[in-house]
Amino acid sequence: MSRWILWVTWAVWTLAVLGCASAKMPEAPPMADGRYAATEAMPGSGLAEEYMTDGLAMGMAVPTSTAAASGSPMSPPAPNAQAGTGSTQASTDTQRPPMLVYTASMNLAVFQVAEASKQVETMTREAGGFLARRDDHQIVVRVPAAKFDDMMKRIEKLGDVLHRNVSAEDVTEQYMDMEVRLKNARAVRDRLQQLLEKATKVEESLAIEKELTRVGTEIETLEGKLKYLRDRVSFSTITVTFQAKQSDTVKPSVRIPVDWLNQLGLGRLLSL
Amino acid sequence: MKTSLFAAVLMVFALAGCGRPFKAATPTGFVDLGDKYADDEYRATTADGMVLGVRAFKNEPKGELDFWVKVIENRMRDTSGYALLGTKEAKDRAGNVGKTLRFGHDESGVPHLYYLTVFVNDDHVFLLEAGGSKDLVEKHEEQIAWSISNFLPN
Repeated sequence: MSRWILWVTWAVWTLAVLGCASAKMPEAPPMADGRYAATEAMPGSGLAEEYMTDGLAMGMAVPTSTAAASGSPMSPPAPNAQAGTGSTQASTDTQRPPMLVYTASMNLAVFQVAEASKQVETMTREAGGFLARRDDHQIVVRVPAAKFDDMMKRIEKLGDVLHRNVSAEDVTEQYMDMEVRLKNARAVRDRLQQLLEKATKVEESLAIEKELTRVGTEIETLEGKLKYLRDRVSFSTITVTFQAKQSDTVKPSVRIPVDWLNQLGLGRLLSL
Repeated sequence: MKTSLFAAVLMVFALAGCGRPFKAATPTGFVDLGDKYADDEYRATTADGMVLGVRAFKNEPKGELDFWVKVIENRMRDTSGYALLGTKEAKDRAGNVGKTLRFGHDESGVPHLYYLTVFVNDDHVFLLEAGGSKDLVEKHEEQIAWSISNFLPN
């Protein structure tokens, strides 16, 4: 009995030590474009769901050229997402581009709010993205990270940009940390399963199963977090708030003292 | 004899000075409202309320086409709250180059379009206006283009 408890204690200790050590892993060097384009080849709708169902084997997204060349909708499994060797993992980690989460918000003065909102949604679908939320004056869309810049430029053309905010959050370290913790948790689970097979006493089996349940829950939690991070990296979020362009002043300007300039407009023209 | 000759010359000069400093072209489906407006102004309309207008102003202060286009664009956008939907180069019948500014604006909650085409010469700034509800203007795009390309400054 005590031998089994010792095994379980060792397993838990190993998990804790490796989990902590992973937080000190070096940061991946940045790539030139700093973008992920594994979603480029994804179909136009229901993207997030399809992406998520691919599960843990997927690993990180790959740069545009690789994704395009392979023609695969998803990047190949990352070696360190499985129980690989330390050297393989280190070499992969140093080659990884940063995982950046792009978020933008924009205030736009437009002629027709409803039409502009519809145009943003159409452009999003054309870019392989999807609608996240919409109300009368605001639309939130998710677009593939590779199309982020292009989408921003296209949206800006719909009206006068009153305010723009773009941010990029680097989640590389967070992602790698969770990946290592997941790998370790899986290793512990495998070891516990081996121990369970060898257990001869009920007490031993119960203790191991209890630990297995705990490790299993931790694995599921980590898997969920990794999926969420990958989704945030693959799809940038753009929030566009529309403002109807009525009599708002967009920017101050010099007033030229010419009377007939005051006589321009539909009011005068349509008064026959 | 001398008196009548002098009077005739005066009459010719007077007539030459009168009238519009341009020749507007009235497209099919529009009616020229002619003498109801001042000499430097032209208006035409369809039965359902799509209106064309041409006005001529002295080019004072003297400015090039780009200057007046920018002044008008700023005034319409900043002060009058019109949305600039696009700009396009225009040419009149004599081959003079101008510019068309396409504006959008809501009038009583109804989307309207307002096109302003600007031609400039040494003496005048010519404004060719076209406006109406969005549907009407879009329906008459061809006629508007025709009236611009057949406009002729004197």
